[in-house]
Amino acid sequence: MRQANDAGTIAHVLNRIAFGPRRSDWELADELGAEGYVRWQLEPESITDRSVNTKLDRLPTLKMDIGELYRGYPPAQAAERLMREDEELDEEARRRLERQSRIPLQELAAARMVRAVESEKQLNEVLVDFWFNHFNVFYRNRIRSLISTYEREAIRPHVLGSFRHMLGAVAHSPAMLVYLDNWQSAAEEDRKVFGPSPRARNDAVEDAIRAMPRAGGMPNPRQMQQMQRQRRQQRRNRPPGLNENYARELMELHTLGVDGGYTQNDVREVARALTGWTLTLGARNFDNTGFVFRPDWHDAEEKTILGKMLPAGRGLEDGEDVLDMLAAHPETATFIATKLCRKFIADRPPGDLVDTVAGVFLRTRGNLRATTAAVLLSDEFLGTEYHGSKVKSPMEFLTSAARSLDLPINTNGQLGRNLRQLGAPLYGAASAAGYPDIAAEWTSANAILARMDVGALLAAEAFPDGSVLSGTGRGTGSRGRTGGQQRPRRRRPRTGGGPVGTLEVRIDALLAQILPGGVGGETREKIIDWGDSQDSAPSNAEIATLILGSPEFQRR
Amino acid sequence: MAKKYCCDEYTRLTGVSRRVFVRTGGLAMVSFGLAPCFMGRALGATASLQGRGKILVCVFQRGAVDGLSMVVPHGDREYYKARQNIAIEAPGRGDNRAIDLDGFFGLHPSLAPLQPWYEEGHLAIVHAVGSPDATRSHFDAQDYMETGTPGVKSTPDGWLNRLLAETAEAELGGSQALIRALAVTQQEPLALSGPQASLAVGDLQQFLGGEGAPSQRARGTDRQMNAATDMAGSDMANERQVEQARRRTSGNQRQREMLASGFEALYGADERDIVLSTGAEALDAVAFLKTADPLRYQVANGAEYPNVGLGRQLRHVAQLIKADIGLEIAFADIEGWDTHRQQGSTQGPLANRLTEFGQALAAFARDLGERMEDVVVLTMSEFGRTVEENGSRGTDHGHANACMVLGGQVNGGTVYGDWPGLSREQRYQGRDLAITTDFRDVFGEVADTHLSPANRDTLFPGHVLEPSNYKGLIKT
Repeated sequence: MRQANDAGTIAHVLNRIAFGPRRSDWELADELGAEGYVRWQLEPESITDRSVNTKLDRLPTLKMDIGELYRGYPPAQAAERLMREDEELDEEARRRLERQSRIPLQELAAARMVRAVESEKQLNEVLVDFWFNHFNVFYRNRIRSLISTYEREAIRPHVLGSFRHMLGAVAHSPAMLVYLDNWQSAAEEDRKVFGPSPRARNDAVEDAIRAMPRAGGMPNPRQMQQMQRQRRQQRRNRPPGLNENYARELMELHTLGVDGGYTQNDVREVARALTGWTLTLGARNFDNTGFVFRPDWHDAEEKTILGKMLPAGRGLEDGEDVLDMLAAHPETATFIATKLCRKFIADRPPGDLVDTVAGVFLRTRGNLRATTAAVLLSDEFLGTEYHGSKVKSPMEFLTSAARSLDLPINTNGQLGRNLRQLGAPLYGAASAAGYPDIAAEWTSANAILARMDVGALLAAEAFPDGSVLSGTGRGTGSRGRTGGQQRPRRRRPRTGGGPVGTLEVRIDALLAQILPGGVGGETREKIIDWGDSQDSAPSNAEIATLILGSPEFQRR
Repeated sequence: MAKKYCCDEYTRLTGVSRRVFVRTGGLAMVSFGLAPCFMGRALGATASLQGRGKILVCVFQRGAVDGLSMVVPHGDREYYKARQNIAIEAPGRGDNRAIDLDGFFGLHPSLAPLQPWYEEGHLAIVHAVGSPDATRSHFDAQDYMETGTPGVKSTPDGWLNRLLAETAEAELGGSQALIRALAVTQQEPLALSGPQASLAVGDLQQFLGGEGAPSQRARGTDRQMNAATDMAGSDMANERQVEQARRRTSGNQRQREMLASGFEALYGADERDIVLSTGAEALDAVAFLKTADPLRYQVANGAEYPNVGLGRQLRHVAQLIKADIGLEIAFADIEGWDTHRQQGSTQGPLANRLTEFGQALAAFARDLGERMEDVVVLTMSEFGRTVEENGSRGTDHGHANACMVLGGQVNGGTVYGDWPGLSREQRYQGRDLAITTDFRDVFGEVADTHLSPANRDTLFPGHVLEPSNYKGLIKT
């Protein structure tokens, strides 16, 4: 039954709804009790995050809209189009643009790590990680600058909101439209389309208006002709066919799941419903989100999806209806419930709980706060049965290590780069399915060894006692730097740091700090024996390295 | 090292307690002849470093390579009708045309490095191969191909693992190599997972400690692999860091050994606990591989591997083979085949990928030289792609595909399999290349004739292999 305040349960809760225990969070959770802490975290609107926000203010691209990002940090190919026709990009300029184009994603990754390690709204961050992974996009060249707004607008606002809203925001997002090719999907040759190009009537006027500021007056006839020619060319460039990629993954990975009972025909029909869902990323014309519906690309004939008939002669509603249908489908409820239970309970989620949670999802029409609460307030979650049942993913390992060591995190992104060595760089999951969430996927020989290494780096940063345990990685990159004070009450000693006293005292102190839920007596014995058998007593950094690389620390 | 001792025995004999070699970064530690004490599964076995048996190398093209572009059916008119923009031109004068193989099929021009192997009879191709299951989900189809049980999701192990079980008994003198199967992939592939021990080492150089490894010091620091997708861009600053770190840490033997013994104590083999057993295995494997020092083997015969992706993986596989550690099965994979849009024909993303693919395989075969007599490389992909191009000048998920079989004992110079034709009526569901050979028959024949498993019927539960139906891919 629930033991609201026992250390094991607090550790369990903080390892699941937060990125691992951290001193300040521990005190809070202890005070509120496990359930109280969970309830508090389920309402992140009531939590302030002043210090994190101050840090993030240093990253300008985090607040830019998609137009600013695309214009300010375009991929080299797009930049070429921005320039005048007779200018070309030389190698040097191209490389500069390449580096430039990476900045928004680097800042986003840095921000994600800062939040994961230091935000007070821990559950919110855990859920952003989860839902981004669920609606995964991969940072290929073309979409780097699109991911920032994707995470900020399509994922983050909805993680405790409405699943249907998140689904819609994702479907409308340039990042997803490009990643899964829907932006190039149009009605097939022989199909009736919904309407003419949206700009057909206003072309001439709009072109004139747009041209005015640059020309310093009315556009000359030659410019007008050029623009009209470009417009006609654009209309001719309509892609001549259907692309099923997004339609398939929408059902297989985002909603129904691969066993959700849809057929190849359904995939095709969904693709037809989503024709014309595309984007405008041309340098000149931009709306807020980058999404645009092209009536002249949309297949307006009748469709049948999952047994339901969508009548002919409709436009955007076709796609919206499909999203409605999928979001409300019982298979979706089960699929989402299963994934949430796998994330928070165990690799093989208990069937009864999955059913219950799926029921909540359906009843509340995809209210994610209610659904998530159904998982996190369950007996399975708050009880002791599933303690330590999950293996930490690379992100969870890294953040929990940084948090348990109380390492200050900079906005230079150094900490996050360790994720590559650990096998899961941010935004680097190549498949639309995102990173997996089961132990077997994270426990190869490399994975374990990489954790020992990265643990060594972080331990050396936390307890810089002059030992050379620094290796080749990046730690947090915060050594020797000033700035980023968010806990003024904790002073870092000038040398070494960490617990003092006899070996046993120090080992116990470090175990209590890094594995506050407690460790088995055997592990403690082994570490003490090991320490005792050395010629000179191991330093705090060395002890911490061992603990971070230990089997216990890999679990949550 | 001809014989390995169990840890306690070794300690008793030599008075030296075991230390473990753990790789990379600031922690490079030294190993002294470990016996596989930690590896419960290998208990009692004595390892031999003198294995020179047969080796199967599987290369998985993940993402569904377009088999019709890889091995072009230029003799089939329907091919050109279906692909107005992305077809590969039939052989003829000039570049950028299919390289003729047998008058009907041709190689994509980017696979030119493989042509000599075909000509000399060491490369065989089987076309119109695939899975009877109709799924077009990458993930499902890959799983089915790796478990060897299409349509069945509950199979817990991979076909290569079952193969390992069947070749275990056949080892000479009952001794068993410590590492019989190895994947140069980041995670263990499903095909290799199961009760027989295997290892996923990722990038071998990183795994074995790169800069700190004794075999590396003589040659100086290698460039760190700069992945094409690295967000951080230039690694110049990194390399300086690496060099500095190497100089600093090479003086700290004591510290590293101390940590090594600590980890060793914490990780004991416990079959039931995936973290414990994997950790113990990892420590053991590194120790063993360090002793074998595969990275000291140089590339031979003027072979030139591409330095990323599959080229790198296969270079490491070649080194592992030369190190004679008793490897039987190696697994590598290469992604980036899912060409839904702008696939290109003789230029473009698919052509680029095929260039990398062909160069890697050809370099591998050349590097190993005579050793290829013992080696067979088998390529595979979860399904093919649509016969017709789609609206984005790409192709969508299809059905049948082509496999390649490369090795000294291969009956090459032939494209095997029955060609079903590409007209609409001949296609699978009117859209895809139809299957005329089940992939299990290709894999099974290769495994059976090359590695001689004790019982071939366990390889593919629910599917019986008929030796009388074998195509004769391998000389027996």
